[in-house]
Amino acid sequence: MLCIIAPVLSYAEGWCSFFWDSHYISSMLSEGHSEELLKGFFLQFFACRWIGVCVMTVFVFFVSAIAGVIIQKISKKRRWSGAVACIVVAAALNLYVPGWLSGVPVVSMFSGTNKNVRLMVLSDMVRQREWTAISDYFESSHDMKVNYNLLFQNCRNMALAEQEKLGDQLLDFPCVDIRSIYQVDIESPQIAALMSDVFYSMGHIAMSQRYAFEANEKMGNRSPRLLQRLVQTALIYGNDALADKYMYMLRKTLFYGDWCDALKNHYSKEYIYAVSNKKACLFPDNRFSGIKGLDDDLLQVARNTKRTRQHNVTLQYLGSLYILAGLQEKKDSFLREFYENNNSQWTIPKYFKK
Amino acid sequence: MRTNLFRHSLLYICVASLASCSLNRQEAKPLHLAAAIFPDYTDVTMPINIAPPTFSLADNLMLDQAQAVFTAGSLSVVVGNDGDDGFCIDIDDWNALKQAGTTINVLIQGKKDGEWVEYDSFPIHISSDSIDSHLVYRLIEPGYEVWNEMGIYQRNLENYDENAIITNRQTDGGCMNCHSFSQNSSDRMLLHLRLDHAGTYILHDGKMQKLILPEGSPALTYPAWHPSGKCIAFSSNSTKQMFHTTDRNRIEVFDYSSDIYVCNVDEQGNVAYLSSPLLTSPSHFETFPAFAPDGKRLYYCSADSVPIPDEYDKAHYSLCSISFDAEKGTFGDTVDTLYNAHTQGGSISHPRVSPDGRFLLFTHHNYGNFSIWHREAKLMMIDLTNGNTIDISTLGAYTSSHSWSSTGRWISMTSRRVNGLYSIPYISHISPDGKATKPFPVPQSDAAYYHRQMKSYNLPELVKGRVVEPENVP
Repeated sequence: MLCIIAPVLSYAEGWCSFFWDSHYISSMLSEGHSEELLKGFFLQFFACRWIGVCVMTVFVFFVSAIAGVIIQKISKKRRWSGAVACIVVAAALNLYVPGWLSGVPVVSMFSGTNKNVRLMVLSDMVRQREWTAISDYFESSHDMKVNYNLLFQNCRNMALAEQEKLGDQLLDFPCVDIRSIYQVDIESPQIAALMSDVFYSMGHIAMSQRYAFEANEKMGNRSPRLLQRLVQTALIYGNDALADKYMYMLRKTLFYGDWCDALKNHYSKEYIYAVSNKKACLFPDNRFSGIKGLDDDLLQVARNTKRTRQHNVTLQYLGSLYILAGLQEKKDSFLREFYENNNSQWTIPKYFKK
Repeated sequence: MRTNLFRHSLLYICVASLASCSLNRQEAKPLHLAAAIFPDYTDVTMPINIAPPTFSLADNLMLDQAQAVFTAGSLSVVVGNDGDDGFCIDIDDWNALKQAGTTINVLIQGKKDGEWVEYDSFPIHISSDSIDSHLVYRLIEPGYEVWNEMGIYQRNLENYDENAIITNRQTDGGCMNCHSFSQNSSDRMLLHLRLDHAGTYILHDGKMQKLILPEGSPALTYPAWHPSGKCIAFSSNSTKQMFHTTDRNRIEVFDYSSDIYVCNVDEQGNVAYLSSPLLTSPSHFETFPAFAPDGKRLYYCSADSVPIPDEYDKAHYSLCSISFDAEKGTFGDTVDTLYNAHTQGGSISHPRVSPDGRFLLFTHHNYGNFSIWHREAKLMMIDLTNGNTIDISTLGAYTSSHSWSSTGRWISMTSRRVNGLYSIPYISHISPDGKATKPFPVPQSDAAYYHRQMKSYNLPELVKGRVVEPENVP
């Protein structure tokens, strides 16, 4: 059971962690957030999934054993002790699993058919950048509820774009319209976090930062997942002092210190992936985000990222946006500029040709 | 086993206590290096009644052990380093040091590879000019659109006590802004609430009174109390914000239109609007009103109404003034321009006149009126007795909103200079002839406070006493 729900708890850990800081702990306690503190304490271990599973296992056994002993002391009816222990364990679990998660039926966790749980699992895969696994997930899924859900489509299309396959596979799966690529819901922190990933993947750093900031604010500024994104975007913009501020918080956690160290090293794999590759996304023609349309912003990103890996990812998104928005003239111009010239290193993806 | 544990604990407590008591200035090898500390309190001037500053070393020397030696006159106090919390001097020791001399020298010593070393000492100057006891500000996440929690807080500057005057937990999550006081008095505070309980309120003696605006009247934004307390000038702004793609200023806030009105407010909170065509011109944006201390002149900012948002960076606000007769409720028919943005360049916002009426402090930036997102924004000051500009460049750049103390000897201001996003409050001394000292961050109970703070300080207003929290929040 723990192995099955581990990805879900890993997802939850992205929202709520424990900061080993006396000021943080005392302010949480003084404001009456002891329950949140407890949740964060347990969830933090799921930053390292196998450690989380081990800690959970130990905790469950510990609570079960205590409950069993208490029951045996109170009542000699041993046959009830197991059942009562289970109830106590469930109650203890409920204490440190966030409220929105406790609403998810436990049965669906086992069956894996609940939409919310599957979205959590997918969102966690996005966070871990498991692009191939996400593609495999959709290839094996024949569930209409999944295939026609916009958020699932966002996850799938992001995974395909990151693998530079979106133009070849876009319409192999159901798509509604441009909302299958990105959505503008900034009110929901869960969706805003996912959209921050989508914009980051596209190369639209300002929008990614904006969505991450809003989502983090909604989560009480305690989301390691979003603080990581804010560190990345601050470094991309060259604001090291701001990145340090967010890192100060992340270094107060158990598992993100190494990640911060990696981002401090400009030659590390993580820095090259998350910062160096994205710096060229800041195109010189500054304007207000989206004021000429998202596609025009992405066009600038594509022009400014030539000879980087980001270039083709942005092209995948841009061509797909034109297809889903039905902008034929813009698409033709896009093809001429990026594919149908002698210098192009790319072959036209399958769906961009049609 | 249990006895051993107890013994070890007792021993540890004794050793720790002895260690904390035995701090002494050490014979140390000079590093010939200025101490890099955060927050920066080196060579600043602080008021006699301010709480002690706390700070930590911000360099990479990685000392094994560190201590700060505070010396004033013949009195010395040695303070150990408490990890992230830094050097936290006891408030009684601090007060004793302030009494012992007008300059407190701080020497930071540390142990590196078993050897004591020390940085160059730095002075903290103590001014006999006291500052108003409280600072009122809004705490809000910097910018963006979907806020979570915000509130208007007050901080006792003589210690570290901070408490909320009103937060949006009490108002169903709505926005609140533009808190304002008449002549630094904590007696009456004006603020706007948005969304569910939208309106302009005056908080007086713990009671919130909503102003009753005439039907169809324009919404009120930036306020300025008339010294009589009977009327308040407001700008009415149609404002929007947008997000830059590349510019490091991140966000731009601009007005599609703005005008200025003066509102007479009666005892029941009924509002009557006064205005002048010179303050409501469709061909101009007029904003940021501020009265002179005698109430006979209204200062404000004005720009040609360029197409927004297309030409947002072509809106250049000049600094203007117009005479005002509060008794008759009339305005003059000529406008004086104190700073002409067309000829002198840049753009002006947030004019504030010193309590003695001599100095006019304002923000200068490249364009627009929302300086808080502008890295280049700096404070400027004009001597109103002769119209000369006074050099206050010591205050540095990336400054935004500001206020005068009731004596006119101190100003508070906010700045994003530490990390480019989260603004923190600063205080600076202004001498009678207008010289400004290096600003210092408002002291907090530990050095890491500003690292942890995930909200920005907004509109730091110095007031003479504690604001009574409202009992009847709508």
